[in-house]
Amino acid sequence: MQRVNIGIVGAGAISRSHMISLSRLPGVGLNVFDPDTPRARALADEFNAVRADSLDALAAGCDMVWVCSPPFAHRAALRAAIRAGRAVFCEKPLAADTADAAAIARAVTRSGTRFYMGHSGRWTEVFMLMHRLVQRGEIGEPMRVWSRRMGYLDPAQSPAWRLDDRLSGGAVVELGVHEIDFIRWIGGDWTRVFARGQDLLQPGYQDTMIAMGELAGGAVAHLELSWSCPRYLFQRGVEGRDGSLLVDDQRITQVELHRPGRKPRVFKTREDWQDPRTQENFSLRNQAKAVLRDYRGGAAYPVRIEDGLAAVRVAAAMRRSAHTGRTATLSTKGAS
Amino acid sequence: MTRKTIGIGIVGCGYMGQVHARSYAATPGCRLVGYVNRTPGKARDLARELGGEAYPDLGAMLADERIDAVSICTDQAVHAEQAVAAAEAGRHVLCEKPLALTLDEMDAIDAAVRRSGVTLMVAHQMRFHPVIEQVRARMSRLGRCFHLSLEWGFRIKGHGGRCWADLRSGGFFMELGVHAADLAQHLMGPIAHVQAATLRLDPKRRTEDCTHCLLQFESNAIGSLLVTANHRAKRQGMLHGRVLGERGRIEFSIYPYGRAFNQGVVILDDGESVFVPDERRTALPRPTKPSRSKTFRGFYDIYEREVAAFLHAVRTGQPPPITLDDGRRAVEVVLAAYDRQGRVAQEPAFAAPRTQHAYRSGPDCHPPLRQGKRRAAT
Repeated sequence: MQRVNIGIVGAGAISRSHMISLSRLPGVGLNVFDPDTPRARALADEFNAVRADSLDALAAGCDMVWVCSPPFAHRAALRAAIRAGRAVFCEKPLAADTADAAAIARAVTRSGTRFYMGHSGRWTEVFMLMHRLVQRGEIGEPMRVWSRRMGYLDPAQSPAWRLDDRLSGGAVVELGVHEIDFIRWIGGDWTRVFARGQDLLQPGYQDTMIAMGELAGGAVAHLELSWSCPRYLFQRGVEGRDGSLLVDDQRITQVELHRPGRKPRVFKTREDWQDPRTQENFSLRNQAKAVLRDYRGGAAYPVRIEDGLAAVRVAAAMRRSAHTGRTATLSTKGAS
Repeated sequence: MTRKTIGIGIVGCGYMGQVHARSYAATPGCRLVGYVNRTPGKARDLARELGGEAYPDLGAMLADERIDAVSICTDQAVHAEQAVAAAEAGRHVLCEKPLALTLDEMDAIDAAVRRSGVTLMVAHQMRFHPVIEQVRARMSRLGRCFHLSLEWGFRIKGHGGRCWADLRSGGFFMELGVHAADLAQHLMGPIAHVQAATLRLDPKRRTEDCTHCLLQFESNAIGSLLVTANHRAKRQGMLHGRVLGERGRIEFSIYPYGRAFNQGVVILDDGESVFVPDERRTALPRPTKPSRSKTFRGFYDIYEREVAAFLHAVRTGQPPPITLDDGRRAVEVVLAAYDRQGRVAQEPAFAAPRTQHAYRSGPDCHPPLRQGKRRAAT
C-alpha cells in the first residue's frame, strides 16, 4: 500500500478528531503545524506526529495537506499547498466568505490541484442511508428538505474566532454549511433563499437563524439553526410525494420511513456516530478512507470544491437576506 | 351585568355550525333559539336535535327578538356581509375563522361593530387548547423569547370540495393556516414581517396546499410556520411547536385525534419537565349535558370553552378574549403570505417553478364578494 504522508494544518479540536481516525488507518504518516507551537507540540506528541515549523515546511514535507485550521486561515493554507504542488483535503467551510471561497476555487482549478472537500455529513452512515432511500425512490420526488440543528455555544468556552463573523463566517457558515450541503445533496442547488437572524450570545454574531429556500429540483428547503438553545437538538427530514424520511435521535442511528397507508419502517445504522471508547468520529473516518482511496487510485472521491463553494455561497446569501430582509437569488453556475 | 339567558342563533349548519350548536347546548346560561342554513334541511335537523326553530334566511333570524347573539359558521366568503348584518341588527357575533377574506371586508365588519357596540369574538378555538394555555403560562420561565416554530402537517386526500376546487375557502393557508397565524401571534405578539414560499404540490388542486412562512415579530423575535396538506409523516393533523427563549425552550405537540400526544416539555439549563393537559379543570361552568362536539378527542372541550368565553364577554360587556383585531391580524398574515396587500410588511412570496399555484396568476383564485353573495343562501 502506498504510504501517504499527511500534513495537518491546525492543532485545534477538529484536527484532533481527524488525527484519531488518520492515526488508525494503515499507511498514513502524520505531520502537524499550528502557529501556536505548544499546542502543535502537544498534539504531535499525542499522535506520534512530526511537528513542522511553518506552513511551507509542512507542505514541503508531506504528500497531502489536510486543512483543519479556522475558516479565515484556509486561504493561506491552500496557497502553501498549491505552491508545493500537494493534494489538499479541506475541512468545511471552504472559507469564511464567498470572496475567499471563490479565490480558493479559482486557484485550485488553475493549478490542477487534487482537491478533496470535507463535508463530513456526506459520510455519516445515517444520512448516507437517507440519501440512498431517496435515490431509490422510496418516498418519490422530494418536495421538502429540512434540517433543524440547535445547541448551546458557550462564548467563554469557544475560541475567539468562532464568534467573529469575519473570521468564522458566523454560525450560518460554520455550522450551517453542514445543513445547506445536506439539503443540496438531497434536493439540488439552492436557487433562492430568505432568512432571518438573531444575535443573542453577543451583538453582531448571528447565532440563530431561520432560512427558507427554493431548490433547483423544485423542492422547498427549510433550515433552523441556533447556538442559543439549551440541550442539543438535531433533526433532518425529507418529504416526498409518496412518503417521508425522518432522522430524529440524538445519536443519529436511525431513519424512519413513513408512507401513507403503510406501516412505518425504521432503518438502523450499524454503528453510532462515534466510538464511545476511542471517541473516533465515524463520519470523519469514512471520509478519510474515501479520500485516501481516491488518492491511491481507487474509487473517485465524490465531494468536490464546487460543493464547498456552493455551500458557502448559500450561507452568504442567507446572511445577505437576513441583513436586507429581502429574498436573495443564487446563480447556479459552478465554481468559476 | 344581566343574568338573563342569552338567545343564540346558529348561522350555517354545516360541520362547524353543528359543533357550535352542540357546544352551546352543553353550556349553561344560553338557549339555542334558531338555525339558518343555505339548504334548510340541516337547519331543521339541528332544530329537531337541540330544540329551537329553523329560519328561512338570516333576515328572518335577525328579526326574531329572542336572538341575542349569533354564531357565524358559514363559508368565509360570506362572513363579512353576515357579520355586518348581525352587528347592524344589534346582535353579538361569534365569527368562525378566518374573520373575512379581504382587508376591505374586515374594515366593514370593524365599522359595523363599532357603530353598534356589540361584542364580536373570532373563533380561534386553538387558543383554548390546554397545551397552548400551559405553554403560555410557562413562557415567562424562558426569559425573552426569540424564536418560534410551528409545523402543522395534514394529510388531506382529494382535490375537490370547498377548500380545493371552488376556492370559497380563500385558499388552504387561509382555511387552516390562519390557525397557525393566530397561534403564533397569541404566543409571541404581533407579526411585523412575513416572507413565504407557497406551493401547490398536488397539481389537481386550484389553491396552494403547502405554505412556509418566515416571520419577524414586532418584538424582533423570528419564527417559522409550516402548514401542509401533503404531510407524509406518521401522525397527520399533529401540530408541533417550539419556543426558544434566553433561558430555555419549550417543545409541544397537539394531536386532534387522541390525547396521548398532547403534551409539552420545558427544557431549561438545569433540567426538563413535562406537562400534560389537566383534565380536571374547574375554572369554567360544568357542562349541563354531555356535548357531542368532541369529534376530536385531542381537542378536549375547547369549543365549549370558546362559547363560554363568548357568552361571558356578552354578559359582562368586557372585551372578548379573541378580539376582532386578533382575527384581523391572523388574516393579514395569510394575505401577506399570499403576497397581497396588507398591514404586515412582506417580501414577495415565491412559488417553486414546478408547482406554480393559482394565486400568482389565476384571476379566479380569490372569490369576489359578489360571487360569495350569490352563493350565500341565508
